Amino acid sequence: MKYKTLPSRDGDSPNEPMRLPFDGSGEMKLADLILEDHRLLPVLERTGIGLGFGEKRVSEACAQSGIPVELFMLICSVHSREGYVPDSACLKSTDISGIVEYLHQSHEYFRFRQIPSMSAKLTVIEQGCDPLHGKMLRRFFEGYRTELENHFEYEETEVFPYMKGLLSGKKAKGYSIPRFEENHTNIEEKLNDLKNILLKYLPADCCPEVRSEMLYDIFRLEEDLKRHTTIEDLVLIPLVSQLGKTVGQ
Amino acid sequence: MKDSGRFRVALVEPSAIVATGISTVLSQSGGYEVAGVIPENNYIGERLRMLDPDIVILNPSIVDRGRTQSVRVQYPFLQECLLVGIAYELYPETLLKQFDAVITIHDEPRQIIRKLRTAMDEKTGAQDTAISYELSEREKEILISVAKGATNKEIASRHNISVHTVISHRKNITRKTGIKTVSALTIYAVINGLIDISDSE
Repeated sequence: MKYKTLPSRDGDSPNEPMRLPFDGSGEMKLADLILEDHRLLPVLERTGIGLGFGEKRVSEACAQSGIPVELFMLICSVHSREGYVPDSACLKSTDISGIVEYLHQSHEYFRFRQIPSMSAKLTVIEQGCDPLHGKMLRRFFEGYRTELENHFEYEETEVFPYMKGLLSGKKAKGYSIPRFEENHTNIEEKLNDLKNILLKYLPADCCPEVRSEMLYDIFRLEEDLKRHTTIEDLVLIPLVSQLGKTVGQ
Repeated sequence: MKDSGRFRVALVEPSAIVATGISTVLSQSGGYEVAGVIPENNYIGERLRMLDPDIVILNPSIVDRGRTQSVRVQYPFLQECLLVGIAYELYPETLLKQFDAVITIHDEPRQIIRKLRTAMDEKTGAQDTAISYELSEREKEILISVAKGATNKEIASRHNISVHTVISHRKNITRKTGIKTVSALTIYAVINGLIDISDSE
């Protein structure tokens, strides 16, 4: 988790409610939701809804996979709009386990799908470019991967169990939310640097096609990680601190 | 700015009274030299080219005459000059937009000077940004040291500059390249032939 100030809102005046390309009722067709904004596609997988849902409404699909429709719509809103500030007031503390599960599934997606796919593209680039450049890029990428995985690992083994524990009325000793808020990393910086090197500095003839695809992956991962952080900071943390106060009393 | 250390001004203004007034204001301020006054719309282009001014102060009524083309389009060699409009009255926004600054005959002398100075600063500032996308030689030297793993303090003493200056160079390197981490800066340095890999390992 990387903790930052509220993300900036893109273009909308701060006083106007942010418009979303869909309503939050869950009564629309799930297919229409995704066709309206294809960036919501990964949300289906991470919430266990999957593909092949036919003409189901959002609410029906959510009920079937066991995710509260309010939570699903909130996650969709975060993914759909840059700078969307979610209002976790519509959620209940019991939604914490749903959010944690969503974040866990996102980690799985990043670790076992997204990063390996980027790694495979990098292998092609290594083979088609100056071996020295390839070697250095590989080392840099593996450094990034390790850092990202350590970060996920920390959340999976420390943060998430703490939150689930809170739900069952336990309060772990010597561990509190403020402590993991200090756990900053420079993961974003590394990904950003990799992006600039691929975009601007590798020679023009060095695997331009695969490079473009890898850049597209990076842009997507960057966005996805930003949304991931928004859900952690602005949805999960407020709910947990609310609950933590209750349990602590 | 020519040898005199003052900005050369060409004045394109039909009214002798206004032209004399502006000339007086400019020469009294010390930083400007009126190289010539062009009172009518004859051979403006040729005369301006001869004067080779830093600043052209121009009354749009003298060249406009129903033309929609801007002055810089008509006289492309003025691209480098600061172009200042003189307004007697309200002119349409579209007409005034082509100028870097607009002075009016109601302005106080110091207002006129201030407008010229601000516009000049902005114009040279804009040129600075335009040429500064590439790393300077100094920034490349600093980058090489960074890539070799030197600390800010070591870089400062090696290049005989303050740590503060090193930090400011590093900020500029990151601003230009978009690269923040040392390991990525090293890759940048190798790809661009600034260091040999044996230096970095």
